[in-house]
Amino acid sequence: MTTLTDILDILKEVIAEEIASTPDQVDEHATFHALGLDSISAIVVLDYVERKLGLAINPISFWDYPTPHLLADYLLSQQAADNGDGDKKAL
Amino acid sequence: MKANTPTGPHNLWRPLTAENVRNPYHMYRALREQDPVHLSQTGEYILTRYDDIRYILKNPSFRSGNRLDWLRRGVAYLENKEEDLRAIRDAMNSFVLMLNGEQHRRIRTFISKAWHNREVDTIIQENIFNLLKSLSGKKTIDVVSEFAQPLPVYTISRILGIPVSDCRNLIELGMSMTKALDLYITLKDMVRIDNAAREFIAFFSDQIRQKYDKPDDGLLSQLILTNRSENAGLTDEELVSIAIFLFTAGEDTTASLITNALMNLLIRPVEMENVRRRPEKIPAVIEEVLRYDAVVHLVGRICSEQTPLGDKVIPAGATVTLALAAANRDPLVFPEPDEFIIDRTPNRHLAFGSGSHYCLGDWLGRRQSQLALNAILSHWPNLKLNDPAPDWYENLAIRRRKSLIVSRVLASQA
Repeated sequence: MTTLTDILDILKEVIAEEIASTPDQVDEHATFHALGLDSISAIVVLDYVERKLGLAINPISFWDYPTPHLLADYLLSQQAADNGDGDKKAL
Repeated sequence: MKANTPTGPHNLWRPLTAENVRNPYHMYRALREQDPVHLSQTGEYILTRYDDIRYILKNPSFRSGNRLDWLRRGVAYLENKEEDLRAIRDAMNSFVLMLNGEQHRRIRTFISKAWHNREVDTIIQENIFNLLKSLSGKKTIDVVSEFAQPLPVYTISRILGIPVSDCRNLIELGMSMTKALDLYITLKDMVRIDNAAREFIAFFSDQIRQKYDKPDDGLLSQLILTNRSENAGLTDEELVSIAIFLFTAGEDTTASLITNALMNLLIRPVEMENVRRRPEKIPAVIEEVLRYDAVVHLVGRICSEQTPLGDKVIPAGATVTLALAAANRDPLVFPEPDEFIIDRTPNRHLAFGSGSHYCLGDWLGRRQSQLALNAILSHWPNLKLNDPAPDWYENLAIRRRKSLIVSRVLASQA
């Protein structure tokens, strides 16, 4: 069962990689913009999270939910809504 | 009035919800009425009023090519991650719709010389005849995949002078390539576009080599000869990109226009019978489809200098998304904008843009759609729509139905 913390950890891991930092330095309430991400690094972040969660992510959700916390929360709800499809990858 | 919630599901700009992918016109209308120069959550300005959009299309300080800039930056960024997507950039280096200033003028003039005033009716009619023949005896037909998608590919192949036997594979590739013009793409999309770009580059490089040796009367040979005789100085890489552009620009767009034209008549049987009896109305039908159910919904520009617009000031460097399809439903220009009215005059829609980037292939798209619709109406009487609400591809810039399933009563059964 994936939790909010699991998704946040995935997000922090890939964001840290993109901005050459460490996951514990990524403020989950800061906007992606303030963290130093843009529309190009966004596609790398979303691709990584898609593969980790086995979830197709609408690219605009990055801007609709513009902090790691908001996005994780949204992805958790998406995953719950998606449950029942058999092809989910384990985390 | 502005949207009162800056983030989340209450944004006015929600182009990727299932509801808005199916029908974006409610969203366009809300934007136009509530915030016609809308600073979206993605940081771009979304414009929905006819006058604003026309003004920007004609204003040279709004540069074209925001997608190409973005793709170039994306390719460079991903190169550091050992994702080699350089073919995207190479394939699109001379896509005339994305160029500016002297480079744009040079390439556009070059293409125009060989491109305009071509005798194409015979080619189009032959292609239509062959496609209809291949479908004769078939009761249920997917107009998209079996007619509307192949027709423009066969036509442009004949015009360019490339073998029609290679078309089938190229149809798929062209569909992947079009995704490069969409607003929000994923890494998976980029990999798919890159694969298509590689195959296109290989194919057209080979074709151009062959035309150097054995020129024919096709457009590709003509471009090569013009380049040589006028010392235009275009590199082979530029010629390849121009060929890819000419090949792909009219594929999904024309396919969608033909599909939309037939769809809009099928759901209006009285109008359809009226047009069947009076085929001279077909050009007007196509114009109204271009306005009412447009193919190219969104085009982008980059603002070069700060420009006041409505109640906003667009800063230099901002990306501006022009919702052409929203402009085409602006009630200040089109009375009863949400009604499909065949005899609408005037009908100054912006489906092909305006200004220096006005679509180079408007005449070819129009002609193919007119002849295609005419042929379907005269060859397929008693046509029935099987699925009144086919799905749409998730491409916001170029809108396209995935299918259009019809059935017809064959002569032997009538």
